[in-house]
Amino acid sequence: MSDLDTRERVLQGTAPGEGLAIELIGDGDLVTADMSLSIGPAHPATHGVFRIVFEMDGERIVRARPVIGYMHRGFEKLAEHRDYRQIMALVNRHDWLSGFANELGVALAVEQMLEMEVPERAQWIRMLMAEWNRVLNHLMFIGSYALELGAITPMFYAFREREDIQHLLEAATGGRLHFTYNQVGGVKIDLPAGFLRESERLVGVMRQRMPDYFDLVHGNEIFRGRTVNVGPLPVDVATSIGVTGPALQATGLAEDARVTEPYLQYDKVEVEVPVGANGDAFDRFDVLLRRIVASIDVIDQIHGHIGAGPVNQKLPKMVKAPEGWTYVRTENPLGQLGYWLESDGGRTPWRLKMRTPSFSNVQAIPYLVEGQLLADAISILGSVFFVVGDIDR
Amino acid sequence: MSVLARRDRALTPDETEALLRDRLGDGIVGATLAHRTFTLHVAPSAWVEVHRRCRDEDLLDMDLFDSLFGVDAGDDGFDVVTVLYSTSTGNRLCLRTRCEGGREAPVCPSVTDVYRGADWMERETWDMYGIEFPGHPGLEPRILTVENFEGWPLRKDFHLTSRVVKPWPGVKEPAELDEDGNVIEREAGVGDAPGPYALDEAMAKQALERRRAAEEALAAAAGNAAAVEVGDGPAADAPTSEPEGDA
Amino acid sequence: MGVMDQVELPKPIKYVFNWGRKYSLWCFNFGLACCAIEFIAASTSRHDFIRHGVIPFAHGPRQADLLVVSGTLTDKMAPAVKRLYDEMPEPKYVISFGSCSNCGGPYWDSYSVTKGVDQVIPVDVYVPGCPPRPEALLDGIMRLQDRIQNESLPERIAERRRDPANVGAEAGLALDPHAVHTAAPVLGPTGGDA
Repeated sequence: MSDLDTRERVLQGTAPGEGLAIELIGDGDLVTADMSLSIGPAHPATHGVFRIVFEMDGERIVRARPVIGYMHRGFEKLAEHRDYRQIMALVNRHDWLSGFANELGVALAVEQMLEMEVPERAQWIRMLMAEWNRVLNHLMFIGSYALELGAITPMFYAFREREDIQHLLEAATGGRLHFTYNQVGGVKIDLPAGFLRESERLVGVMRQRMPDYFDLVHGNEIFRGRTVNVGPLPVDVATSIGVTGPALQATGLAEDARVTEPYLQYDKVEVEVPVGANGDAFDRFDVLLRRIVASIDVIDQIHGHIGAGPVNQKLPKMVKAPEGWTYVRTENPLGQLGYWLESDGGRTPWRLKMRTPSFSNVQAIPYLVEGQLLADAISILGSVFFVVGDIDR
Repeated sequence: MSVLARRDRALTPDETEALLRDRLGDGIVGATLAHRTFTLHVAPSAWVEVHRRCRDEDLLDMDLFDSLFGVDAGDDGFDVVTVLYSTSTGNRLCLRTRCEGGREAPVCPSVTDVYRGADWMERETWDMYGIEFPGHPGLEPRILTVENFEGWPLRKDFHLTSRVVKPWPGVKEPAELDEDGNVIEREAGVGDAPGPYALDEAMAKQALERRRAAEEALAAAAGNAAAVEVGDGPAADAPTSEPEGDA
Repeated sequence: MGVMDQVELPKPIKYVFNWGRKYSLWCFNFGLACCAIEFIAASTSRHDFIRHGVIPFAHGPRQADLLVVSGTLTDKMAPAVKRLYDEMPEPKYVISFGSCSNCGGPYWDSYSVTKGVDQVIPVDVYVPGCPPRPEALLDGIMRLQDRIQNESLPERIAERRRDPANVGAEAGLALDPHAVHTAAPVLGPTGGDA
């Protein structure tokens, strides 16, 4: 019996064994059935414990349903059981790539409730740290996004720079990822001697190395092929969902809390807000790269502003926010981070809501991937930069 | 595209309130402006309409849906808050409503038809507080907690079991400080680590003793070389102080 | 494993055999949270644990000898970790990297966090820190290598078969997340085996 015979018998449904029979529909075209494909929660392409279920028609995604919560640690509940000092050590862990920026929001919220004036030097130090933190965060995504698209090298480049910057921040804060350097009323301790000199040197180093990144990733033909016109996001959809940060700026809207609602001393420096054209994966990545350059420019300006003075203030033994609520938003590396701090006058917050950028940004993923090919889904997932802890909290 | 395009035409909080009162009448219950946060209190019946107005009203133009979440309002039930932002005027508006149904069956109309972003936020609020959102395409399954989780974690009557059974052993806990922030003295229990200061003191003492011993040894060596009459006094002291330092 | 797990090898051969095993640890990084970033940092050029013979490119649990659980394990995630661990071939080793996977860490009182990965799978080396520095991971790896060098494979496997709950898998581990949440204080195997 030849193979052909077997095949025909299988196709006609006469071969022995149930389940082998295939019914042909139509006039011979390849017919596919809908299938459900679950990626994650621990899949290399989703960097983090993020799960997404695709309903596929062949290679094309019909429907996508992100499943989140695998990293839900209950921050908002835990914050209600910790006082305002302890919250600092808690909140810097939800978006683990931007620890400093997370603390900053809480510190600002409590200060806003107390109507506390923060010493100017402390504000500049906070800005300096926040911008270095932004560079750290973006470097990580440059490495990981390229890794998802199949290029290992940018990761090693990115970590070379990250180690240098972490080394610098560690000198002042003692932490590599979670700095816990903010406190209500300023920062924990003053900068160590030689910090600013080293920071200035790093600015030079970064400026020298940035062209490498642009060449390595930006000018890469394969990279362009996989990202240009993949997953475009229109600006009205983005705002309706609440997408912020690089993903929103890539759509062409120059929305950045540092410019539109300046906090700290951001109104005294020039902040360039890079924007994209059509909000595709390439634009999002491009904006991310250019945000690093912009941040380095800001850092360079901050160096000229840091003056002498105290870096924090004497606090009462127990900080208690007055009754009421406030909403503070800051420009986190991944988008706008909002803290809704509601107090009943006690020593712990009554409610601390974290409006995290990743949670809103990830909501755009179903919109972006539906109708796209599965291979493109990976480059889209990676281009909506998110940290899983920031989604789930 | 500049975000500050219409900043000069941004409405003040009073004007915003007046405009929405004009459009919605009794739908607006009140307004607060405290801690640089402007909040409009809205009746549940006008909840969806006020969002639609905020989005479509040309003067408001609240296009960016920032967030939606619940707040436990104690015995009165639960509040739902949304934060809206206008990328053209730079204004932000918080809307707050008290859910109907008290603590037993809180219900709040869904704004998913107005803002896409409300979808997950409402699912999260349901997951955390058990607030139902009629009009939402599907609150289940639970978005953040495990699917078979029981209880509504962010409600104030949900207690953290770990805290109940195992108090934190340190003295850094707010619960262990009295109203003025003074530490309530507590007898040391088994397994209590020495406080950081005790450890620091011990280490500083050791370091000091070690340095003194080294200096004495150095002086002794110098004394031996320069003058014989100093004798072995300091040199004899040095070894005795060393074991103390290490102890 | 064939005959290796049945027969106690002569000492010199065992030495060479274990030496070979300890310097070719194919490592599967179960990156969960912050610590995963430090794990990546440990694998890149500055710290570079590949020079210790740890190869972080295992394509899946089937190819891995070493599982590094780095980050907070939540009740929702716990079944996945358990399943992954079960998929690994013997002999397998686990490093718990960071306070969260050791004991819950800063989330010790959370309602959704498993208080330690050792409630789900057996752990060989715990690396403390929040997050631990990459150097701490290197230290943990070297300690694991010492252990591998000095261990007897038949004994390890026999022990695992005798007492799978503590050394091995398959026993009634608290897989039901709700059981983990309500059982207080959480005492490891709570019999949630469905």
